[in-house]
Amino acid sequence: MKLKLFGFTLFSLLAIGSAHAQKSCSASIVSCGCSITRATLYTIDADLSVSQGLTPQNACIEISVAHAKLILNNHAITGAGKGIGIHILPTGTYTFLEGGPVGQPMTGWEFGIESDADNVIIDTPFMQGNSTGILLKQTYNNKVSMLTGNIINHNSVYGIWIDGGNSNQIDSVHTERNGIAGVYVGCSSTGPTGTPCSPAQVSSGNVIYHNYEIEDVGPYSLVLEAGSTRNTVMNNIINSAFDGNTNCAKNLWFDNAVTTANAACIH
Amino acid sequence: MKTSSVGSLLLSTLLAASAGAQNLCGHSITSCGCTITTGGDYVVNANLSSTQGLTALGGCVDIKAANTKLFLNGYNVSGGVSTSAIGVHVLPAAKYTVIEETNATNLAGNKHNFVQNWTYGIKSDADNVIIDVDSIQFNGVGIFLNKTYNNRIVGGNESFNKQYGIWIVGGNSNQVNASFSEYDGIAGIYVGCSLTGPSGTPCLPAEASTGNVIYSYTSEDFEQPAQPYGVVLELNSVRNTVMASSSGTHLQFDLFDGNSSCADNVWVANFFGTVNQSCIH
Repeated sequence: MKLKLFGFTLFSLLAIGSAHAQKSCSASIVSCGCSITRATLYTIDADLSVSQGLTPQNACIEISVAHAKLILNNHAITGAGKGIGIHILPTGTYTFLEGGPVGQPMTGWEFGIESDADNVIIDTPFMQGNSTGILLKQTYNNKVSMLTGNIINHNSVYGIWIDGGNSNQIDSVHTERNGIAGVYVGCSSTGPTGTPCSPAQVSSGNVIYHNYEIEDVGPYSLVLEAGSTRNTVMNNIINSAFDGNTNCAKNLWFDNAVTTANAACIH
Repeated sequence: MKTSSVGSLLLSTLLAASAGAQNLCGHSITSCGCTITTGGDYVVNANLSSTQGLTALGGCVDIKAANTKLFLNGYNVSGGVSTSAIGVHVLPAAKYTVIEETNATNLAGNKHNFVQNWTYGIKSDADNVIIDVDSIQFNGVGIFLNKTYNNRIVGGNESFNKQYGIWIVGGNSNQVNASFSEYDGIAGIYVGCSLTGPSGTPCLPAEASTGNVIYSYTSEDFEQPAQPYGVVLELNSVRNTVMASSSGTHLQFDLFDGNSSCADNVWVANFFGTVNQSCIH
């Protein structure tokens, strides 16, 4: 009995140790499977692949510390359909992620970039062939933009997904040919035909502006889901715009060039 | 004595009334000289000119209310009659203001509009302001962030201004991206406290500008060098980040840091020709 108890305890300790094991990234990152734990500058200096291993939370790179800066440096970050390319954990506030000029794509992930932290800046790299390019999950004051020439395209669900966040901003991005929508603000992984957000999850106060190429020709280009209210969409060129709220609720659509819209309150 | 007191009281009352008098902006703005005092959406529906009058603070449009959205809607905001005037002035109480100029329909038709010929084209004294204005040119300073937090300047062309395209003084955590400048008198972006560039007086330590982030920014005199500096972080402006920006063909330095070894400023992944220190990358 004593031996059995000892064995159980040892197994438990090993399991806990394994679950908590994390490999800290060095300032020069050359393979997947590490965590950024220092508030300093990191650069990716080689193409990264899921085959090199992932973190315990299934990311190529995790960021768990505030005020880190990560430069992708035009290298590919390639997954195999699951996991997260770069995961900014809730403690990674004030992260600055710089995609740089047009380079190799971030591709093959369930979420290319997922931010769970507040006050993050994402200067987006070339994102292609993920389920969703960028997921902002219940974030506050994240800012997503991109250099001219980069693009978010051919992601099977969304280009950018704001799920339950507020006061986030998207500007200067170019999306096209994403599976359901280029930009989706809401809680459904299947688009506006799915389940809307619960009241506690609504996305509000987000500002989507100065995007001159939200050109998705799939079902939707830009969607504000039912229950996503008090958002502002202005000064964009949008192929297909959709607001799931009656009379757009308190969403403001203004100064956009829209090809097709589902409601007269979209301007 | 009593008459004197009554006269004094009357004068004080008149002065107070005069100082308090302000022309409130309607939600459709068609002339300079009004003040926004209630948050909400305001749309400019005519070209605005300083000849139509200014506010008591010397602004074409002053914004005093939080959560205001001002759409310039493709119209010009033009100064020129005063030596000290401001196109759009966001006062300290007006946090979370959004100023939006060019509408996408106009842009698709290549129609550009200007905030021009002011001492400051746009001045922000408030936190959490978004400025998305296409062309802010021929002013003393294009955009002036005065001790602000978390202002965001996106997508503008701040060129041909006498001193700076963008001036950040004493602010922190402001961000500039996707903007452009050429042919400004001193610099495209200047972070510091001198109106005459890095040869002037630096900030006091208490006025230092920190935590500002400049990225995806371009400053270049395409035809011939004329602008002395591209981006300047002045002495005592520390812990700022300049990243993935392009600056070239300037008379002095494309990128300039006035701090010894750049202090805690981060310059990385930029494209440039000339810099004043090897810590700029």
